[in-house]
Amino acid sequence: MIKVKNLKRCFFTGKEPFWALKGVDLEINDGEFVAICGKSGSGKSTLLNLIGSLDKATEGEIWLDDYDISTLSQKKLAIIRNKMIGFVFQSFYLEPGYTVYDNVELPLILSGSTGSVNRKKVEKALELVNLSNKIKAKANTLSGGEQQRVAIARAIINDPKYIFADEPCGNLDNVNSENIMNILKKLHENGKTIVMVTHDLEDAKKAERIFTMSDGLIINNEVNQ
Amino acid sequence: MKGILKIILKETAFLKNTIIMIGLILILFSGAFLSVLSVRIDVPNGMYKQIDNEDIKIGCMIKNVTIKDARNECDLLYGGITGITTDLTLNGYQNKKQVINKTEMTYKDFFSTRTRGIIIGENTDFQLLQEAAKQDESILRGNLPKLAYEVLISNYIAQKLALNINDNLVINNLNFKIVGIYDSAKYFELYKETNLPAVSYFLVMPDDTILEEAYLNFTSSKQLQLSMKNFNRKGYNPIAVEAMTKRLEIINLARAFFMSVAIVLAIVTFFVQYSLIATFFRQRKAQICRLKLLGATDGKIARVYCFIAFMITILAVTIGAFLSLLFNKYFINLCNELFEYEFISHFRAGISLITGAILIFFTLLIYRHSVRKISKFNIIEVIKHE
Repeated sequence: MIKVKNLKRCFFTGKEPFWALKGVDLEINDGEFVAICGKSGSGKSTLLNLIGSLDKATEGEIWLDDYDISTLSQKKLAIIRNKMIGFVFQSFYLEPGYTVYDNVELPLILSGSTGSVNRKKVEKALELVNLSNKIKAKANTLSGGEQQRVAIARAIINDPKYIFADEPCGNLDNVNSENIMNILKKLHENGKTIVMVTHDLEDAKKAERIFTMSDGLIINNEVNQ
Repeated sequence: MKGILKIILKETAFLKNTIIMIGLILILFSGAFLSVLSVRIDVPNGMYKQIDNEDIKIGCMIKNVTIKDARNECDLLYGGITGITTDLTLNGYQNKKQVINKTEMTYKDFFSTRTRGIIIGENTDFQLLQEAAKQDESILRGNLPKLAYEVLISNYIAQKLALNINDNLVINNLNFKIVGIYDSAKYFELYKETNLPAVSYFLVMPDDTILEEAYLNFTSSKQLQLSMKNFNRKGYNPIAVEAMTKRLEIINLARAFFMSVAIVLAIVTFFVQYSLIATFFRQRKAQICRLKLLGATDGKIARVYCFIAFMITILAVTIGAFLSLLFNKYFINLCNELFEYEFISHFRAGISLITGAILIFFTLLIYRHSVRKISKFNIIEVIKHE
């Protein structure tokens, strides 16, 4: 379960403080598929970065299960990112010179896993995103849709409980976006908690719940029918 | 650790950087090596000659003592023979201490060394050997020289250089013929017994553990020529004793120069290391952040880049070792004038350790700085840029 209490994040541009988040409260249950919508600059990515422990809050609490991640050390946060969270970003963030296999295996290596177990897990993850035939291809030779699917495979390789996706279809055409959304839905059906930031209402409608943000606050919490 | 190594191996761009780094290391290594080698060569020649399975280290001749006998009367008690007076000037190293133009010497200074020599000469030079022959019957084989190009050599040298009667020697482009071999053990006895006017120049070796032989030879002009360069069985290219002082000065200058080169290299090395690390982290910032995003701890990332630190350590220790060598080599001269030999040995070892420790300390410092730098990388910043 994700719990956010009175979350604030202030940036300083010059001497003037800019409050990207002005006191956000939200709760996301285990196994939920949640979309965070809003216009550009509304604070949705900032919120996701904070929940994903990529950034430090100025004020407030963030609970991932029993962990208050706003108080944990960098080392513990790294372990949480590795074991509990899978990230999917608009720009994929793959290692361009690595093969698909190597990219997907990275989180496993970082968690200390090596050997034939890794191969089985990577093959399984790639099967899920329908990229088994590209296992030896270099990441920089793939299309955008394929790269995003590799990123999803990498995100799920350690079997994390949470998938945080920041505009996962932002760089993709309609067909590929559809594919990615279907994969996310499939992951959700498999029990993953998915938090997706998007400005596309069509994508957001595929989630169970939609949080709408504006000016650093959640202005709407709507359950999708 | 296996996994971390796998990441290192996978990192192709990283390997490219490594190749550049290895190249730089090789350049720096060669620089240090050459500077040390140059010093060794120049002291003087640094040449090794195998004679009857015994290394004769010509380069060690720098530690010889040269004594110039001006044949003037003075109050020096010479070999216990009263009435023989000489004015001696000593250049070089005596009892492991460097001395230049030393004029006051004692009996002990002189005879604490072991010396054997080739004597080549005529007229008064022959008197020494003639006296020897007469008094001690020390001519083992052959005859005393009668002509200017005929020479005697000691039995010891004859054996060492496998020379025999009727062999030819070339010294200072002059041809000499060996006509007799005398008993070298009697040499100093001869020297003491005679009035020594013939021995106008003298060369002794204080450190007989390094080199047992010092080569004496006399030309017709009665100048001692020290055979050091191109030391061959039948071809000598001697260096005049008078040139020794200047040579010492030149050698010291050369040493100072090469030491400066080595110090500059060491400083450059640290700058190169630092800029390499800095450039590397700048270039790989995005990758480091991606690794952090995927859950790599700063420590794990540091272990990946520990490979760099490891290479730098090898570089530093290698250069450090050579630097120590060079430092010792040069520093010992200064210490020679100030301290006893035993102290110097320990001091030299200490200097080596300290130099090594300083270099390792700097390496660790750079590494620590690198790790701190990694921990400060902001993932969000990089994500936004990408």
